[in-house]
Amino acid sequence: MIYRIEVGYKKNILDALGESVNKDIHDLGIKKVSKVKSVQIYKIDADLNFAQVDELCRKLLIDPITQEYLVNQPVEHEAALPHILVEVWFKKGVTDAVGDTVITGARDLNIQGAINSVHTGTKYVLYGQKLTTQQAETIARKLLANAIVQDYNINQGKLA
Amino acid sequence: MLKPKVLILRTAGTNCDMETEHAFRLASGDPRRVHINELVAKREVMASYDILAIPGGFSYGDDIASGKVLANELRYELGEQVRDFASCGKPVIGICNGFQVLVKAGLLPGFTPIDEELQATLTFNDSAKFEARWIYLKVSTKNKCLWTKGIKKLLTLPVAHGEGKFIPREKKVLDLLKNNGQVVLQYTDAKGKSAGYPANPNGSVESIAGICNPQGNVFGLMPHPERHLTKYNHPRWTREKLGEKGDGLQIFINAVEYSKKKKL
Repeated sequence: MIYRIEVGYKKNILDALGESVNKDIHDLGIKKVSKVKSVQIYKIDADLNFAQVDELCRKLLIDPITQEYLVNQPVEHEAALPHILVEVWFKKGVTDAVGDTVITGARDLNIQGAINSVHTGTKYVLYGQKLTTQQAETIARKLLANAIVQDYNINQGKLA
Repeated sequence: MLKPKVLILRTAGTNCDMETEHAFRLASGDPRRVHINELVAKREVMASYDILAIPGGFSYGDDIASGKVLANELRYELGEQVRDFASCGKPVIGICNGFQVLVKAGLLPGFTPIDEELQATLTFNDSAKFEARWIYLKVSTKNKCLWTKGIKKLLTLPVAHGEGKFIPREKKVLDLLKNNGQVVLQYTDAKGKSAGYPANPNGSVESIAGICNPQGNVFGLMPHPERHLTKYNHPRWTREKLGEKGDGLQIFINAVEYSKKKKL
């Protein structure tokens, strides 16, 4: 069974990665982005039931004070504002060190054997009026993904 | 008289263990660097030591979140040993990554022997950058920590972390920390006044840099006392009149002295 877990910062907590990506986008010369939300994604192939995956999230994958998570559905973002979604994943065959650490960490919860693989990715929600998919493409190519080891995909989300 | 035995806990990615060992040796302790697997496999027994130190580094590559995997290892594999060690009043210190581990394992703030629910956390610096430089710290006057006993001067120590922003779970936790005398160190400017960035390198709530448990024996801090043991560690030792001793050394001496007295 494959589970997709999304982890994001709670509303009252500063998303430092998102803020810093936002600054870097402005440095690229693209001024249409007003805010960026970063989301960590874990794709876990495991012989675990939903309750066990939930436990893995609570005890290993999230910081309950600063972060929230959802299994098999996207964490909330301000869907009413115009935005474009960019996801960055390692290419097939590239070592995913964080994914390997998740398996190591699962050992302490006694569920290591049930996990077949873990892939990690990052989702960026780029908010902005009149931001185009071409601009999102430029941001993904020049800033968010290292083309040698990573792929990205762009989902139009909600366009203005 | 026998020197207190210090267990310096090592795992994949620990990288300040040798400096920490050196610090305890200068403080007249008897430090040993021990890999966590030795404890899990019961080839080493935590209870045979007098002091426990979790040094800085990047345990498990800081993957998922800094200190998280090692914290879970302590909580779920060695929970009882660690809890007993801390509850019987033996000194425990977590430096930088070690502080993140103590907080995420529930040993700090330590309202109960191991807090089931996380009461505080250390998360990404507001700057989203790895902050590596010298900063100033004031020692809170009413703290109960045995590690900082008698230290009144403004300290200068280096920080080197990406996830050092201290956040309590709620205001009630912060009030408890203050009322219990658990706030030990706070970032300040060069004059000892509280200030924003860059004096506070990470945006910590109330500029908190280090806390202890209610008993005062478990201490965690983001700055590195083991990197300021002699004046020659300081970047401006030729320009400023500094004492021979570095600002960090007394912290280790305090714990060793405390253990010696406890053993008598």
